Amino acid sequence: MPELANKDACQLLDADHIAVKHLFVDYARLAASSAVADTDSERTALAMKICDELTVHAKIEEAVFYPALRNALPQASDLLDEAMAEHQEAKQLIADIRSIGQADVSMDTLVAELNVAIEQHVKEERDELFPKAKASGLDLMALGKELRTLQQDLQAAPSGS
Amino acid sequence: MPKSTKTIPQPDAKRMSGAARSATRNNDSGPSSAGMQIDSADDPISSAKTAQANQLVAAQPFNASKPGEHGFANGLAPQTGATVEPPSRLPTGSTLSESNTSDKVGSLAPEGRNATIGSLDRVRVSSEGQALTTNQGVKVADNQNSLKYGVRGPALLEDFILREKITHFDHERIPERIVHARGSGAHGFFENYTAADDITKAAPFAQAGKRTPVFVRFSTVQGERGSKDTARDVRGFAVKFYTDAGNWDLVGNNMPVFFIQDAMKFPDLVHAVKPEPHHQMPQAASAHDTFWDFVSLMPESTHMLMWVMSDRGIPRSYATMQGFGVHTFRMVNEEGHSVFVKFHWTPTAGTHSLVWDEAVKISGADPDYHRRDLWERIEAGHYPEYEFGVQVFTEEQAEQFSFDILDATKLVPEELVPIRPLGRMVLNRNPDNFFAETEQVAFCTAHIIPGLDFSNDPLLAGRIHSYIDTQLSRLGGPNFHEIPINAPLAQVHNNQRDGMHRQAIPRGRVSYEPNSLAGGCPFQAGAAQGFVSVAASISSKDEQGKVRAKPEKFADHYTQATLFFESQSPVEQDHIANAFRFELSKVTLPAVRERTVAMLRNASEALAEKVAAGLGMAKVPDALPKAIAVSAAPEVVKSPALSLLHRPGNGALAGRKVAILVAPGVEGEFVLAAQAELLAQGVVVRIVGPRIGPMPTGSGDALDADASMENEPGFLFDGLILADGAPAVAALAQDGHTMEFIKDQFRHCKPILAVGASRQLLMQAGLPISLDKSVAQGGTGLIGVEAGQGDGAISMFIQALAKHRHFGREMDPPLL
Repeated sequence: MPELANKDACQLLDADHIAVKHLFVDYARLAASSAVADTDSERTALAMKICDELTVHAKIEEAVFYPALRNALPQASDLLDEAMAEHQEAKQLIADIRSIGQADVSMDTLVAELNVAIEQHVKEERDELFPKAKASGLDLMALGKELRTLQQDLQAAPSGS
Repeated sequence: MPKSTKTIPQPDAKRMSGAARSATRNNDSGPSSAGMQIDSADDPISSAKTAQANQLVAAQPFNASKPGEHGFANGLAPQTGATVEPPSRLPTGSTLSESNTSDKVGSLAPEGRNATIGSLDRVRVSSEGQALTTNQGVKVADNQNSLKYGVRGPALLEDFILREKITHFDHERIPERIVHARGSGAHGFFENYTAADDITKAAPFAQAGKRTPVFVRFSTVQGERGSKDTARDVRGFAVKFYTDAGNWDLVGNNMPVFFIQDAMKFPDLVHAVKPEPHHQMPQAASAHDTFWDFVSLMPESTHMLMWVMSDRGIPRSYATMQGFGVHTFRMVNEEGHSVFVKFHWTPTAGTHSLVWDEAVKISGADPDYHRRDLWERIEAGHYPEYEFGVQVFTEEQAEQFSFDILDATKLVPEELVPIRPLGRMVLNRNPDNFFAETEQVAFCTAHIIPGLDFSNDPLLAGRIHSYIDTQLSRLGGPNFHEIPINAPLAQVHNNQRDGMHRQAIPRGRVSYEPNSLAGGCPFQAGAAQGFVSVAASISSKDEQGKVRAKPEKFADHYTQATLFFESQSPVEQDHIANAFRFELSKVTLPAVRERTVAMLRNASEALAEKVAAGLGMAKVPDALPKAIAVSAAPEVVKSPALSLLHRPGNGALAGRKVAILVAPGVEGEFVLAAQAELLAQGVVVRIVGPRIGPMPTGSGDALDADASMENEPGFLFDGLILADGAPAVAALAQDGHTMEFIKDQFRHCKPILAVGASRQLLMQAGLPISLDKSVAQGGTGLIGVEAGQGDGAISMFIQALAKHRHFGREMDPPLL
């Protein structure tokens, strides 16, 4: 993968959001036509990539971004609690998808559910959390660097960790 | 006077011959004897006519068909009407003088033929090499000046040329259709795959490879005749089959269900959705109070609302949308055995739609977008094509379904009853004249042919009445079947006569049946050839009588709305939620919004919550009470076939449009190479510059820009190519149109190829830095390559174009 640009925390997290949405859309396209073409292995690979990406994403948010916001923005704690609850929901769906292992109709349903859940989570972050973070005076570039370092470490670790 | 009982003395033969002659020369009485003879020496033809007429009449001493008119069994198999062949053409003619011919009256009419039907060749007008005339064929010497008394004097009343011209002009318009006023038509053919005689004897399906001419009209529903094509709306998909057994009109839509279940509600629905009556706004839009007031009180509309709010409400092209017969119909085979069917048209090019922001913008820049697209596809030889298929099921199967097949708000899931393909339709000829063909075409659900029949769907019953009725005023009388586009190819013979604008000149004096004066013709065709209705019994509750009520299963208003929503991909679900949000945000009354969201809760809690949040509702309103507490468990809870993504089509790019942006100094060789490669795929490539006209290239040649960013804004194209060339990029960078062009292409999820220096235009347009991970990951449809690498990237661009849209970059609100 080519070197990506340095970004602030919101940009970096949003890059994850957009990238995983592409994967979800690709998955849905394949799932919709699965009756006419065998796309099981492609869908399995996509599902696993989605799970890996979201796992790393949740970890860096929970380890770096949310604590920083909780610290700088006490009034955002409700939003952050909600975000954490949504992470828990997503983690359960990710675990369920991984346990199916091979793409089938039930995995298609779960991936769609995960897609919808993530979409809602992303919308809340983009609509509510990011503007607050940007207005908070936090050094988002520094935070972005921190997120990136952790992200790279986690990506280097074995898949599924 | 007392009646005589004496035998009346008969005249001798010589006297009788005189009487026959006499009889032929007057019309108001004749001799009493049947023994008239022909006097060959004097007036042989008239005598022969009279004698033969009497002979013809006498051959039917009584109506032999009469007993067969009675009883159920005869009703199922009506007999063929009795006929007698006349001895010659004499007794069936109108007049003995028909043998006198002229250029106007022509010659003797061929027997047994209606010459008003047939191909449109008989009415086409080509004025090449012809002088201008009046409607009376008088050559017009001066078409510039009215007739005046002196050059500065008053105009004269006697100027029949001016008056004819102005009078005709004054009456050029006819009433527009009340619904489906905005439409576009095309000719083509239906080609049958293999004989489908196991299920139907309908003529188009009789043999493998059989072709039946068709005329198709696509339309929106709400907007008036001149309204925009890209409104969010149902699309009409009406097909007139000119079969050799008469005309069959399959008057369908691009959605398989409808808002209402009974024709009694049709005027209410249409009044609610049409521009509001006090100020006649909004045009071509359902996003207003009266529509949502009505539908939120009509929960049976929920399923249809899902379809209309989905991307199917804004198709990319008439060539990329499905068609459906909506109602359940019947097919009937030669043995009289009938099955239920649902009709489906599936586009070969796949099902593809616009996005809402794009549809809104297109409606401003090109309100004729779909009409133009259809016209241009056909002109270019990229003929729209659809596969025709039927879902076939028996009455017994239908009774077991969890839904009622007479309910037009329900579909039959393909997973429950698969589609059996029967043939294909190709639209390969544009009309010569919009008014004569597309405007005057008159479809009617009542137009079916032997081998087809109706179900008891109460919405269909109303439609069977309504189409003919509305055409009586729209086309000005009962003879619109004679308008060339409506005339069948099959022979038309009956005793319907007269009326406004009658064209046919029926020969003979008989306009009734039974008759013996015309040898019994035209005779009733009988069961062997004629249309016989299926003897469908009203299976449920024979003890029921006349009643105004719906069957119980009609009360399940939400199960299939849920099925449709749950069968969509997440992106499609987003679009549905956003469409509800948009439409309801245009409603002025919060109570109407809340009632609609309350209704949606019964179909999908997730959808209702999303729409409520999008409308800033403090809390999601309580769900509407249901008409029945418990609905039958559905057979299918998820139907992938309902997603547009299920039908990507054959991947062909024919008919899609790509813009290559150019400015002085552009790298011309690349532009020409890209244009050639795309043209080979059937793509319409436009060279778009800051202005139209010659555009010098970097190598000193010139390209001819055939469109400008001003006259063809970016959202009109399916893809964008930005060529290299530093001066061109610099020129485009300072043109505000360029940024809008790129932004719209990006927002509408279309592929963009940028070569070399032109990549900076993407940055300048504001593509966010956070896209970089997606671009590195691939599959974004955003292709940026180094200088000189453009040629190799064209194939990547073509692949991206074949995916139609790249929704991975779609965020709400949009990234850019």
